[in-house]
Amino acid sequence: MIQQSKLIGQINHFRADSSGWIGSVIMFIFALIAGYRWHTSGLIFFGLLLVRDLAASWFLISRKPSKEKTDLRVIELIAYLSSGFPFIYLNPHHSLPQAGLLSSILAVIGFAISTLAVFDLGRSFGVSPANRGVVRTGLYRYVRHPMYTGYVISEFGFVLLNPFNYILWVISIALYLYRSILENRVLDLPDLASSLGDGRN
Amino acid sequence: MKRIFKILVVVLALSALVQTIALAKVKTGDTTDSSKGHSDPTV
Repeated sequence: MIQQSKLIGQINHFRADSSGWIGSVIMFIFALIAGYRWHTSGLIFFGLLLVRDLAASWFLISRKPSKEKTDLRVIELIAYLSSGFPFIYLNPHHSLPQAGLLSSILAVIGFAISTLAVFDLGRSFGVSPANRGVVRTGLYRYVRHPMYTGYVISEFGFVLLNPFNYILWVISIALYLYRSILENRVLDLPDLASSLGDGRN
Repeated sequence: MKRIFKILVVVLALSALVQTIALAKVKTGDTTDSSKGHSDPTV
């Protein structure tokens, strides 16, 4: 079923969606850190991060109730671990001369894509797999999981900075693929293999 | 409203890209200049 997600919606009661409120507080703290980093470093990248985290924080407390979601706490845990996985990437080491510039460019492009995807999702936004309606507007018209696509692009910058991050990057992609498959099942969307024969759903 | 925020994201991203490339060029320029050494001012 196609639903048009709205930007401004009713704030959910804490008891109705406690996980949304907890996630919202976490994203708001991330937004404050991003704002501080923007102020101290002057790097506009942190401004982009600030907008992304504020948007996610808002949508998590105003999101639509889920019609169906995963009951297994393990899957929820994997989703949140996947979200925090980028923190364990190794520091720059044995990087190419232009690696810093390329990784910064990839980070900006990747975060821009994922931030646009957050706005496209709107009140359908969530971290763990849940059915809040299928979104097919904006970037979701072209890519089924643009948020994960943006993360993969931005995280490749870490590989350029340190070749040993390649293994972590592959693990991160595997986690995103796993989340994608679960979300496709919850949203009752065909898997990639079955959809390759027909480019459009 | 959503369109305004998405435009803001695109503007921020483009600004960040320009800033990143400009900073990289400045950094490269500083490295090049420092390798030339200091020349004594002529009177």
